[in-house]
Amino acid sequence: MTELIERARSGDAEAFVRLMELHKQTLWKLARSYFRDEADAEDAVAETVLACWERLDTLRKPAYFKTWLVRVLINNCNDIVRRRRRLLPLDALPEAAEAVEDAHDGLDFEELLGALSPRLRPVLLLYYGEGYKAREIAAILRIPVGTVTSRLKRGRQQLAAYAEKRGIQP
Amino acid sequence: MKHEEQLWYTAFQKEARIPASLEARLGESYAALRRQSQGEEVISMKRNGHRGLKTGLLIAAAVVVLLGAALAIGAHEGFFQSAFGDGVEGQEAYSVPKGGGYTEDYPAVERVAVDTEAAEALLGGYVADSGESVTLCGYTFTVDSYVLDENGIGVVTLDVDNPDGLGLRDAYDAYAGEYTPFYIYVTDPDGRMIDLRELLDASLTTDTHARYACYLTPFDAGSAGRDIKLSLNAANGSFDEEMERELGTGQRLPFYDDATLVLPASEALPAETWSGGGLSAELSPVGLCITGTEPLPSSFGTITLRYADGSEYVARGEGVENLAVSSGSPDGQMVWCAFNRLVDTETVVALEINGAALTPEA
Repeated sequence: MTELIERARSGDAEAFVRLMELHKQTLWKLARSYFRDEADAEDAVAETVLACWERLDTLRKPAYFKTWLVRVLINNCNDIVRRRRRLLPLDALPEAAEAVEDAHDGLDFEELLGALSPRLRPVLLLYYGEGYKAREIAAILRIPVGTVTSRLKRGRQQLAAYAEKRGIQP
Repeated sequence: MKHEEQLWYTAFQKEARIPASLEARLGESYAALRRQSQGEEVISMKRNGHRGLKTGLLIAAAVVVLLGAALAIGAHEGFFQSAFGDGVEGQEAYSVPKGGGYTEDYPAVERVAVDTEAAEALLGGYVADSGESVTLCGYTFTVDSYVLDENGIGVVTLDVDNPDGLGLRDAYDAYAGEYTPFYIYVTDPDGRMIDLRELLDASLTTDTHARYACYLTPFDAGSAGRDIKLSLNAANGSFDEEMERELGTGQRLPFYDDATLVLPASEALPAETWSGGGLSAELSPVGLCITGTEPLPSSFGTITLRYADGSEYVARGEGVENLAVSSGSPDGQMVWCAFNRLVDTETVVALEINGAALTPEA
């Protein structure tokens, strides 16, 4: 990974494309945690890819490439929200209980998003999906650590309630 | 790991379906940047064009009154009372049952009285008096004073007035998000967020006037020593009707007007370096900046300062949270903590962080 990042920083387009493909799922899932509208999420991801290509030389430490990439995406999401003049990136995903008909498949990503209040989604995704710690999430989302931990708690409660409603036994 | 936790990990880590339209856009972008890397084309951003931007909002004219660009030095009794005194109320530790046998615990917060004369002697020369003000939607925001140390840790006192009432009781938490009649966020001039915790000084607050002590810690070392931008937002009385239709009655999203106040960088409070246990800490009267040779733990469970007279300040301990706010850098190598009281660093004889004893460097 470090070699890819170094090559991309030196202008190697193939290395950069490979990096983006490796992180495409992360970008898309995080964008979806912000936007109900797939077109908005697409904008966020597409703009992030181009912004990263243009700004990759500002990345100081390759070890923090993913955090940097996530931060660029979140900035783009926030820019899109501001352009919409909406305070919050609202979500009207399908009602979680109706989103998946087959209760035996366990839970999937989109279904989980639908089970969570909007502002909890990025926090839960970064924690469970991307493996960040609470303090790292606080830095990435620019919110106090206490807010991250309280959102994690609330998110777990919402997920547990939803799993129970769906009849999924932990 | 609890089985339930494993369920969340598994589900969040499942691959999501990426739309073909995004794959196509990315393919175009990749092709374009390949051409650009060969000097053939300059890439331009393209957005989905099918949605117009909502432009119906009126941004109220911000009336910025500069009452004193110079950083006057004078008595700061009110500033010290709100920032470091007991006008901001403490609280006992408490627990909230959340159902299912789960309980959410909240730590005790202790606020102590401040000796304003001693405070003036200790850091009066570093307090910047602002008076800068802006009026938005009937709310007048006025910066009283502020102080910051050389690591960007500090506190700003802010007054908010509305002769028609502040409307704080109208705040609510809904599915669509929380509503508050006004809110603030803080950045440096480069747009990097600065962590903020606003605490209400109940002793100076009425239905039409609120006094806040706003504690600041950065997320990036580069924010220290820079101007501070306070972004102020006040609900303008209009709501997103489209969202209300989509989400149902009661899910009202307010629109806000906004303005910015810039607080010039003030003379920074110096900090002293302490070290030990693989940690280095810059201690100032208003906070602590901790760095480590290894990535820092996600949370410092205990931070204790001991004074020459034998007393101590438990900034963080089991069931106790006497830090006003704290933040960490994304690379995990720095943590900034703002104290909820003034610390005379000359009288601190011991500093302990997570059980490690730090000593002052010569």
